[in-house]
Amino acid sequence: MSSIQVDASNTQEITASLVPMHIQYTGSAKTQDYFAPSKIRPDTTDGNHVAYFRGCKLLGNPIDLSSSQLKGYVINKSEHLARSEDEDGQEVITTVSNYTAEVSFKELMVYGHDVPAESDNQWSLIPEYCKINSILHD
Amino acid sequence: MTVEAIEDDKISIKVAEKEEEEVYEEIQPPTKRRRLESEEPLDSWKPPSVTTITNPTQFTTTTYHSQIPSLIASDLKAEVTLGVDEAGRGPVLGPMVYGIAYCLKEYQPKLKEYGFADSKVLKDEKRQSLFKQMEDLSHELYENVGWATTTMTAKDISSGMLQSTAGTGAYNLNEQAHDTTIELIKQVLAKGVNVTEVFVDTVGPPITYQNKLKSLFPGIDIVVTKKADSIYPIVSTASVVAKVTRDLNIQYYNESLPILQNHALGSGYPSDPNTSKWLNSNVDPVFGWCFGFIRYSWQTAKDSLVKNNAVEVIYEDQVKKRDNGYQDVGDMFESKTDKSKINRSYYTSTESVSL
Repeated sequence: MSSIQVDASNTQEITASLVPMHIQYTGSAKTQDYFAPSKIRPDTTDGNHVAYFRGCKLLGNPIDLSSSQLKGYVINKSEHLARSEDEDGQEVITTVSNYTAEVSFKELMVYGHDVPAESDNQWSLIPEYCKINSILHD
Repeated sequence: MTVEAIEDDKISIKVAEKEEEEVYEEIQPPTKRRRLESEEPLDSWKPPSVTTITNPTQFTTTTYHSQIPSLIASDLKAEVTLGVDEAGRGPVLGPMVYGIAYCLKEYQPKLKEYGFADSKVLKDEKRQSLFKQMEDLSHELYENVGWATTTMTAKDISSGMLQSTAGTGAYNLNEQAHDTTIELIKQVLAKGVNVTEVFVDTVGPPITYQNKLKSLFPGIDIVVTKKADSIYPIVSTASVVAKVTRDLNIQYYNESLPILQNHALGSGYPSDPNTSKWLNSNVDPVFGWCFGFIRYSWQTAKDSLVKNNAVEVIYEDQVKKRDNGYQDVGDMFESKTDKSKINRSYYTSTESVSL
């Protein structure tokens, strides 16, 4: 069985940014040296957050997850093989994935290139999905 | 979409205070002793167009205007000559600086006596000392020559040129140059200075640019020409102001920004071995270089990312579907029967229906 492990007390909190390009890379990056200094916070609450990536101007809108009682995690996937028995008692070997939470975030910054990301993008709708979900199930 | 983990933290760098106590010394023929002295960091003097930048780590484009020189301010009806030049169009790093300088029409020939000449033939030190004189309250140049610069940062140049097609689309360098120049001239006019002639140095085609300026500023004599800085002393003055502002702006970041400290950056031109060496040996695989200092829109920078195995990035505009239009009109007449997925012979014999 695949599993997700979250040690809530042990995860460092970070700011997560979603950029409007595919970076063909997974792993740690020197965001502190190169990305964080490019950020400009808006003067007004309805203003856009600004950041720069490889010469492109990005406009960001933050999604506040905590107001929807949500928390985001950056998870790391590891795979291993496991033996188990199927219905007939035959031994089968399956691939099992383990997801471990590395860091957590309360706010997700969704960036668009030069223009803010469309308001109905899949990420910005997360709070709305949750609202609908709680109406249906509570 | 890719999730980037970012830790927020602000880096603060102090702006070097302008050294007010700097007093101009008469330039003497350089003696051996003076040379020895200047072997320490050349000089810490920086023009106000560098020191007045309030948030240098944000790499925002800034404009600085000197005060209107007293000899112009005392008689605002007098005819004034204005020169325009730029510095740093080609380099892959650092800002592009647009400079203007203006003085009373009859004062222009005197500028030549001070040594304002083609900026390419002037040495760095000579340019700096001329600029210092212009800023020295007790100097004749100070009360005669007004100047202004717009320091367009690499950040703004790149993001303009790399503008998304979802927005206004690419803002090319020539347009950026023209708009900035026009803005500087407008600002001087708005101060009430009676500018009657303008000389502009250009690298692009002079005639179209000249006509554009003439239509915007009717009533002002406008001359746009190549190599204007070697013909008109006021353009040389503008070029000194622009070049020194660019050089010392780069020097400031070179000294104060941790990721640039102790690196030889060279002139910034891709052909400069120092520039090329720095550019190619300091590539962060994800981000490239310092966000505000490099012109990512330059082919040299794009090539360097590939050459130095930086991570590939796929941009939105690359994956956007293009409207291919009607394509070749001839295609409409092409028989579509062969492309049909339905096999006619399955339903009917070809003999029974003649088409």
